[in-house]
Amino acid sequence: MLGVARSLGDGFPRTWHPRIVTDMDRQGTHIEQPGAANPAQAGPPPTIEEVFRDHAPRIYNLALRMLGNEADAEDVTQEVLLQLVRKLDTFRGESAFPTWLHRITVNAALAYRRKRASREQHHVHDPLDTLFEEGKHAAPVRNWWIQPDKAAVDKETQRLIEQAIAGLPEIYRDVYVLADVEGLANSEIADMLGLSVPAVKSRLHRARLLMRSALAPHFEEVPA
Amino acid sequence: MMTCRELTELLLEFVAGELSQEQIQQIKDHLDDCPPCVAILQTYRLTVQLTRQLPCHALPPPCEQRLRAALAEQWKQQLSGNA
Repeated sequence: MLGVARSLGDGFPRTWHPRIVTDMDRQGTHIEQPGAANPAQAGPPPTIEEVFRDHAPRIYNLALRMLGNEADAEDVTQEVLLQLVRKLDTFRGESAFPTWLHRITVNAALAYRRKRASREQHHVHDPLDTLFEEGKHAAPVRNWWIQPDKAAVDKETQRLIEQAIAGLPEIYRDVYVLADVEGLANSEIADMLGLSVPAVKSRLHRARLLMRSALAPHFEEVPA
Repeated sequence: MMTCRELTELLLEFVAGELSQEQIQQIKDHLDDCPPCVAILQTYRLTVQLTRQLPCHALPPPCEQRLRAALAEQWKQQLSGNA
């Protein structure tokens, strides 16, 4: 019997066992070692319910934003959750968990996309080429804003942002979601997507410009 | 003098505070005379700020139900395989 079964119903994990690294490594990417983990101080693995409650929504949200489709996001979420359950006995905490969770979710979403052969083949225009002609603004620039009392994003604003994200070309969307929604560092994103840091920054910058343009028509003009 | 395109190409590093003092000064000089670039900078920052506030949405109930069932099945298989 695995340790996982004995530990069901116990407390929330406090550390993360390094053994998980071998499985991540098969993706051929650099793996961060959970340096803060100390097996001597390790807590028990989480329960199935804890895994579901604490992680399923995060996995689903990331997959949905990357894939733009609820059914696909559900398939990826299921795959990732099953991976988590298979490895429950290796769970000893959360020190490296966010990185690991992001990595397996991103890998699963990218693999799913490849399987579906949905990667956009057409040329993606550089938004900088659209914005400028001979170094100058090609069209008037709308200076939109959101009133300070709406600083906490309301449901309609959330919908507009989600819609704009879904409209990004995939090469920009992945980086944008990981950087500006998930808050990952450029170096982490580079590792996950197999890109250089400058490439991540370039894509992120273009994604932000596209997002800015997509949101502009939906918000008030800055008063003169 | 920096062009509008050159300024826009540096926005990511500018908002991240990764530019040299010289580059920052060049950008500030340009912004003093270019309202469209000021607009791009402000809305660029606002776009990031708004996106960072997106919540983690709850799972749709039917999806949650299916995922729970799949997890339970996997768990059952794991237990029987290890018994």
